[in-house]
Amino acid sequence: LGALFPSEKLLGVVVAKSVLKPVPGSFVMAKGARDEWPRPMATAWYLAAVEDGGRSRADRAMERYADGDETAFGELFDAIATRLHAFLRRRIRDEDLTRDLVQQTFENIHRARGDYRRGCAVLPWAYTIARALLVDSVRRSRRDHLLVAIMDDDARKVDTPDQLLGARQAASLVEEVLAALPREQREAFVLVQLDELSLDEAGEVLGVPASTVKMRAFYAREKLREALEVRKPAGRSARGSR
Amino acid sequence: MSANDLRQRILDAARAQPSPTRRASRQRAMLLIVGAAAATLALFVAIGGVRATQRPPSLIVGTTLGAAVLALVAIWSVLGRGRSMLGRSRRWLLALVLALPPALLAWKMGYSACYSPALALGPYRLGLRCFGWMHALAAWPLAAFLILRSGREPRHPALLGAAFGISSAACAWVLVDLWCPVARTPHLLLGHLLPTVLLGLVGAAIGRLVLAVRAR
Repeated sequence: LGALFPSEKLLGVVVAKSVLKPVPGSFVMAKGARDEWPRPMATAWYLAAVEDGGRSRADRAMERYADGDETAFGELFDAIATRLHAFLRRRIRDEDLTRDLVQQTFENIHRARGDYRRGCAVLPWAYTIARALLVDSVRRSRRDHLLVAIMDDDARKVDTPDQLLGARQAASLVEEVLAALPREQREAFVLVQLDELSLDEAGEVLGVPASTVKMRAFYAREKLREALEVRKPAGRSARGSR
Repeated sequence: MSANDLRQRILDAARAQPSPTRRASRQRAMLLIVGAAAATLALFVAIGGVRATQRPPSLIVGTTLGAAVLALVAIWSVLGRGRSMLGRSRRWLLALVLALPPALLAWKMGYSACYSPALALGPYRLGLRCFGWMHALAAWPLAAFLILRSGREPRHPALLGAAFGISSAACAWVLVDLWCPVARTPHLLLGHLLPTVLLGLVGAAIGRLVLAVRAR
């Protein structure tokens, strides 16, 4: 994508995120911008969160909170709030609503803490609650928040107006392509590629086997690739004519 | 509002409304299930308890044990969560909802077919009383299941509600089987199977309202 849209490095990052499989601890670089755009796929919170034997800090905090340690709720917040916020922010544009839904998600976790089963992962559970709250909230307010605003945060990081414009165009292009995908495929793709859940975790969130998530994400990736390929000549000719 | 403000607000909200710990939740669940079982058994005794009539004891034991095993599998399925906080998958619940009613019917008819029709089939009865008792006996476990998971199901509340309804009906089926001496197909369809299906539908409707995680 760096080659397709040389000025829109941001899109390169998005597609690198989309096409390459995240490897904990590795750095993925956008094609054509290898030295300029290193991006940690396993971001700081991931590295901080995953510890011994796959048991995360969040799982251990939840474990203690379920047993009655009140201080553990703050630790749970510290462990997953950033990811939860990012998860919701990718799906809605409204920052106030995002924060409100983060709060409601934690309130639900708090109410259900007695149900927490030893050894279960907290994050897929939290994502699923957040997703249900989001769907319910949108259904109630009839607001069209369910667009995948994957580039919003990245778009703020650019320096010049040209870059900003390019980033916004790139964002709307990817968003448009993603929005055209079947819902199941889009959800699987976003959970695996953008929210960086494992196939098993995404399967838990969606209520389907990991193999189904893998297949849906694969088809979504293929369609995304095809759609972006189709737009490649148009993008170049438009740039050439200017 | 900064992330710290949000954190503080969430912690304050949690402090303001304390929630039960795992131990307290377990006790509450136990209390609810035992209470529902006691109410169901009390009602069963009140309607007459076990009625052998002309049925051989082995027939009663056989049909009841089979139904009890199916009911236990159903309860284990709907209350257990496997290795996930999110409970059973859609496929699992759907399989339970679709397979359990015919399995109960098939067991009852199949096992009764091993005996002489004169002993096993019983008198001609339309099945209206069984229809009523099925609902009355299943109402208690259904209420307990719904209370236990109220506002906690983020994925498929209607399907889980249907599974609760069918599982409660399976519990009621066991007791009605002990009480009802009739094994004729029209009677079983109207008095036993139809309430099971209806309880599944009622469970789905209530589950959608009660079990779902709702935004403020």
